[in-house]
Order: sequence, then structure tokens, then C-alpha cells
Amino acid sequence: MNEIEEIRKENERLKNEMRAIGQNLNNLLREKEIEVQRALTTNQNSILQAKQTSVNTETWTEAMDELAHAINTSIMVATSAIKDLPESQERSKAFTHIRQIKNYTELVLWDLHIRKGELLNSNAEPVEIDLVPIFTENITAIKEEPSVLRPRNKNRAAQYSEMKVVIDFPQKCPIMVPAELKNVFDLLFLELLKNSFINTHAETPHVRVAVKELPRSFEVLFENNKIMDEKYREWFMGKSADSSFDIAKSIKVGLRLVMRWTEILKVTRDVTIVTEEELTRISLTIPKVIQL
Amino acid sequence: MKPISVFIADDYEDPREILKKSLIDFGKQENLEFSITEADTYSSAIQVLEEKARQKEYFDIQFIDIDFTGDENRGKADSGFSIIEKAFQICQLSIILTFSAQFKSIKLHPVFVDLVKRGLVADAFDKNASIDNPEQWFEIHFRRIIKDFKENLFLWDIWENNNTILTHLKEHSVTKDQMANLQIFSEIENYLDTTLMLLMNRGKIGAEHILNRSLLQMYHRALEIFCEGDKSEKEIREIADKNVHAVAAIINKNDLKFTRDDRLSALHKIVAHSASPISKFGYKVNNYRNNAMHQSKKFDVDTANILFGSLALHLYMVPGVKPKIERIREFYNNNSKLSGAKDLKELMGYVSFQIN
Repeated sequence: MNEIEEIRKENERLKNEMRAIGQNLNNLLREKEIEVQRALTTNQNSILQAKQTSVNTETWTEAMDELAHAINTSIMVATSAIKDLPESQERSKAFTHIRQIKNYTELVLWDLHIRKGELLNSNAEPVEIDLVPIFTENITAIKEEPSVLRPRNKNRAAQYSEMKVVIDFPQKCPIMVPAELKNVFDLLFLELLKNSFINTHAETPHVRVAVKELPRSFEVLFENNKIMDEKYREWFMGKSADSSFDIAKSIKVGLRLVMRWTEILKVTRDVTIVTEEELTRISLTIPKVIQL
Repeated sequence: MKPISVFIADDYEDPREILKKSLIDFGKQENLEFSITEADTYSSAIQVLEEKARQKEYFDIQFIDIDFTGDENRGKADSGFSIIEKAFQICQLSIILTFSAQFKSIKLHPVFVDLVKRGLVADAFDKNASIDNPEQWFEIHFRRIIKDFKENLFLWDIWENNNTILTHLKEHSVTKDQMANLQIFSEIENYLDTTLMLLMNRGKIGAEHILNRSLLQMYHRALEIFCEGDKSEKEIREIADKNVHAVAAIINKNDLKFTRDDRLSALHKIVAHSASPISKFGYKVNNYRNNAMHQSKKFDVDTANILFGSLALHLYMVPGVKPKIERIREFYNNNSKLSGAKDLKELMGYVSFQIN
């Protein structure tokens, strides 16, 4: 009798255990279903998101092309109108700024072309450019037209014009670049020079530009006597997306182009701070042959 | 020099005005006169081109904008490409330049590159490039175009002569068999088109010596198949043997002989075609070709030899009709020291004095 009772109890226990296991299994299945559903939704969302991003890029590219068309036509009309004016400082200032508009437009457009994998005329033979005249011409251009630095007042403008830039580079620094991009360093150096000029000590401004030839590259150095903010440095080195530091927008936009284009051109950039001398050194290592 | 005819097609007035002013200023500097025609819509541009073609007037230089979206009727962002295709179809020799604000755009640039590759577009006048050198961007760029234009003026005579040849051959069969005639016509048409295209682009090709040899070879081949016509080998040999003394007298070469082997030569065919005074020029083309093919002869074919070949072809294919030589003569006057210049002068003398 006892034995039968024990077997019944055992049977009951096993039944309960089986019910519990069944319940667990059901719960597990439900959880898995939810997980699968969630994964599916996430996947669908990411596909939709990717599609949306691609449509946005396409639209943005088209919009930029159209914008460039309008800007370029206006550049021609404006240039032609100003050309008819008698020679003056204002006339030359207008040309400098129009040229800057053209260069910004081109750099943004080239970037879009490259992002789309449609670099212009990618079969074109590379051309040789010399970095030295790019420096000298840009330094002269800034000193002649300090308005590109957006000076606060006439005194600061005069200070920029009179600033003695220490230069130290070989007679010739030739590099090979794809023909379509032969003007790219023109603008990149201009932006870095602008950054150096502006970030100088108000009373004793110092800017030095040096180029050192290495076996397969040129190391280009832009030195100025104001210490670069830590946040600014992290951002410029691509380590942080936080751009809440205070620098002029005109400089920030130029440096964004420098950051983007150094990546495209496979140019290494670095920042060194020499605290005791209050110096900031931005260096670019430019390969002698640039291949995209 | 007569005025250089220029066509400007752009749907925006300001760039057209800027271009016109730049052309006039350039003309004053260089002592050149321009006759300028404008179109401000896609359809008016096509209409102007068709109308001019009907009048057999062709633009020397054309500035074509690409984006015609400012033309609210039929203008599209790439209408300029259709205008360029039309302009080239009407006249291959016209120098076509894009005059665009955004030919580098992602959608337009591949088409532009293709047109350049196919030889339809000679160069791009990029509207925003003016700021790179505001004082001289047009002059510097356009001076190169004018230099090419002047150096290539003689091509207009070749083009007109080619058209005359093809029209004549359409109306006068070379052979009785229609299919054979069509084949000969197509081959000659192909040679004429190719030689013109190569001559137009010779500056871009380089390898001048090889190019000239190939050009001469093509003129020679066109002459050979024309002279052969539908004559059998036997007929050619018989007529050639009959004509050889007369031709020898014309070229003042009493020992004129055909090749000793059994091969029927191009000379057989040329001599069999005619023993008239023009056989002197056919003989010369054959002689140039033989010398050019044999490296040991050290014969460098020059542009004067090429022009000679082109004119000789006209004399054979359109008998009794004067080919155009006005601009070829200008070329001769500027290049009289070329080794082929003496023969070219003689041929032009024949055209001027022996053909009415």
C-alpha cells in the first residue's frame, strides 16, 4: 500500500516537474520568438536606414551639383564685372574671396565624387607639383589680403600683414598627385596657414613653416605660438567628435576640409604641444607619390 | 583673313555677353574679326545649326553650354550634349568647346569625357576658371584654340574635297556590280573619314612619322581600289602595258617598269586607270607609299605629302573638277620648306591652270 502511495507521489512529482519543464520551454520559446522578432525589426530598420542614408546622399550629391552650377556661374559673372573696375585694393580683395568660394566649392564637390567612388578622370596621369611655391604664394596672399583671416580690427589686420613668417624648406619639394587634384594642397596649406596666423600671441605673434624631406615623404610643419586647446586637439586628430571648443567658424570649416582631405590623400597629420615655449606644431607627412 | 564664325549657345544672357566681349577684346589684340551667332534655347540652337548647314555655312568655333534648364521649353540639364552631337554630325571640323559652369558634375562628367575621347569636344571653357586668372583666363586659353584653328585651316579644303568626292561617287558608279560598288564606296568613305579625323587630332596623337605613313597608306589604298574598279587582273595588265609608255613620257621616266614578280601591283592599277596628265600624280602617290614602306629609303612622309595624296585622290575620283586649294595653298606658303612642298606646289599649279 505504502509502495503504491509512494509511486503515486513520485508520479505526481514527475508530472509537476514535466509541467514545469514544459512551462519553461514555452517561456523560452516565447522569449526566442520575441528575440527573433526584435532582430528582424532591427534588421529591417537598419536596411531602411541604409536605404534612407543612400537616398539622402544621392539627393545631397545632386543638390551640391546644382548648387555648384549656380555658384560657378555667379563666380564667372562676378569676376567679369569686377574685372572691368579700375585696379584697386578692393578689387583684388574681391578676387581673393571669390577664389576662396570657388576652392571651397570644388573641395566639397571632389569629396562627394570620391565618396561615391567616382573620382574625376581616375585614369589621368599623375602630375608633379612643387610644394614650395604653394607655401610662398599662400603666405604672400594672406599678407596682402589679411581680410581672408577675418581680423577683428585694422590693427590686427596690419599685424597679420607685417608678420614675419619664419620659413625653412628645401629649394624644391616635388610630389606626384592625380591631375584632377593638383590644386588641393593649395587650399589645405592656406587653411593651415590661416589657423597658424590666427592662433598667435597678440603681442608677439610667431609663425614658422618648415619642410623636411624624408625618403618617401615630406614632413610639413606649421608652428604658431598659442597652445591648442585639448578639446580642439582631440577633435582635429579625429579622436573626438566634440567640437564645442571656441575657434572661429571660418577656421573650423577650413580644418574640417583639412581633416577630410588628409584622410583621402593618405597624409598623416599630427599635433605637438611645446608647453614651455607656448608652441603648437601641426605636422603633415605627405607621401611623395599620392595614390587614392 | 575672313571673319572667324563663332556660335554661342547658352541659356543665360550674362555668360553669352561676357564671352562676346572677351572675343571682341581678343580680336582687337590679335587683329582678328569674329562673326558671332547666338542661341539662348536648346531648340533655337538646333535650328541655327540646321539652317546654317542648309546654307552650307559652318561655324569655325562653337561654345556650347551643357545645362539648358534655364530654357523653360525643352531645355534639360544635359541638352548641351545633344547640341554638340548635332554640331559634330553637321561638321566634324568645327572646333567645339563646352562653356559650362558644372561639366565636372557627377552625372555630366562621364558624358563629357566620352565626347572628348570620341573627338567631338576639343576643350572645356570652365566658367568658374575665370577667377584663377581674372585678367587673362580667356586670352590664354583661347589663344591655344586659335593657334590650332589656324594650323588646321587646310583641313576645311580637305573636308570639302572629301564631300565632293563622296557625292560624285554616289552619282557615278565605279563598277557595274552594285554590291561591289557599294563595297568600294564604303571603303573609300571610311578612308576619307579616318584620314580627316586623324589629321584633326594629329597634335594629340604624337608619333608624327608613323601617323603620316598610315595616312599616306590609306590615301594610297583608296586610290588603288578606285583605279582597280571592276577590271579583271588580265584587263589591268593589258591596259597597263598599253598605257605604260604614255605614262612614262608624262612622268619623264623612260625606264618605268612594273615589279618583276608575278604580283599585280598598285602601279599596274594606277597606270591602267589613266594615261592622262593626272597619272603623274597617281604615280607619285604610289612612289611615296613605296618609299615610306621601305625603311631603307629613309623617306619621311610629311604633311605636304599627305595633302598631295588627298588632292591626287580628288583628281582621280572627280575628273575635271577643281578641288578646293585656297587654304591648302596658305599651308604651303607657311610650310614651303617641307620636303614634299615642291610636289604639292606642282599639283596645285596643275589644279589652277589645267582644270577649268
